[in-house]
Amino acid sequence: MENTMSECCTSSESVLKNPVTISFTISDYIKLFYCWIRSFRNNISVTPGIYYTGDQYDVTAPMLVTSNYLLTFYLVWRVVRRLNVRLLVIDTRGINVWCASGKGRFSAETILEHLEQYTPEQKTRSGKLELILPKLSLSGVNLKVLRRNMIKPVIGPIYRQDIPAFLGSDTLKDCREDTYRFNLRDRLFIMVPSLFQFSRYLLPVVAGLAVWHWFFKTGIHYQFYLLSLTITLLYIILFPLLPTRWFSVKALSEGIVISAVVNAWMLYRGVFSWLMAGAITTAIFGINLFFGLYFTGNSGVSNYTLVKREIVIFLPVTALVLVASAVLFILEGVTS
Amino acid sequence: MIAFNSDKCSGCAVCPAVCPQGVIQMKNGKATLTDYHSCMECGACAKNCSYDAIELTKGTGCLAAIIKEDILKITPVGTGCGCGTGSDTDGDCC
Repeated sequence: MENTMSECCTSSESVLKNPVTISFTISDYIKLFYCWIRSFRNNISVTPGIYYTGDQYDVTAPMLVTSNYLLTFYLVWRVVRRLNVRLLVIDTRGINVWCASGKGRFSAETILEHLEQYTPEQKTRSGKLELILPKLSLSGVNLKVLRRNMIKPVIGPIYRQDIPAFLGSDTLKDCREDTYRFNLRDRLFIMVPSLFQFSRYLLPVVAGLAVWHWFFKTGIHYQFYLLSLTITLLYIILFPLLPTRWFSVKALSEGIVISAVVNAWMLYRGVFSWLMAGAITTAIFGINLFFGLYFTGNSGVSNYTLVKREIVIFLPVTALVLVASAVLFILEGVTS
Repeated sequence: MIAFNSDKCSGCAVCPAVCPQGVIQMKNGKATLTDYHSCMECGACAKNCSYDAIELTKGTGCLAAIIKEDILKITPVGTGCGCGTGSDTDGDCC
């Protein structure tokens, strides 16, 4: 995106003075990959303002509102790039729509402030601007405030893939029935970034295990990493199938199955010892629990009150299990 | 925590329209939460209720935010997940 990219929060961003068309450079694609891998945890942003698809600006084209997080902007553009639409990009400081709305940055007031930067002729011919809002922005946007300001807000789809069909209807109708599903596609989208992020906690442990192995030949180092990746991968894929709605209970259920399989394999290979079995089993439960609690931030289906209760109960349990595992690994190294 | 006050509810049906989880339904002309465990407590319903009929405790349902905001209390509510959200500081999340 030429001349529109900026690093959020390192400079004061201004709104585009005139609507501009959209194009992406190779540098943008590298940044997009980085955004995806970091999974909503960086603030690479685009300049707020009105953008448009097509060859020229059309004041009668539908106007979709979105955030100025680069990845969000790109993903929305991807599905509308062949349609005649306008994008009103709100300065959310490079935060995605859902998080920015929850924290009050994506609001009716912000939308109005952005629209004030444009002349009435740049916005609408009818006198009343129709704005299509992502449904996930409504935790921050008060529709009544927009209506009071001569705007007709329309509740748009939750999923960007549904935008073309939504725009295809003759009159735009609120997506009242649209619900967030957190389906396999959603989970696969966050799987690689989740594994990438979780690795920063795992790799120091693997390094510690490698050092311990260097002294005491425990035979356990990189396997810990592979095991952890397997745990996280299965947790994300099987998430809705794991029992109960508690992230930690789901994790414990998975831990039971994985530890049973690993212990059975150790018995089969003749490498079973009670100390090692204890160390590995507690490690499996500890990793499972920690990832389960960690995943509350990635899931998009976490309820603050319930998650808080869970964390207060299970975070100390997780810490104890991981400490027990570390002690057993140390004992295994010393005694073997 | 989320609570619906049926005395204040006018039955305008805005809350079920804005709910992204589809867990609010109109029953006997009043908004009712049908599945609390599926509610994300995002606050879209409370934000768009003109009658203050929905009470909600907002927070961030993730490990990092709860540790920082609720357990250690080292950051104000709404800023613990980093990402620059809710505060003027940007930073790492989770």
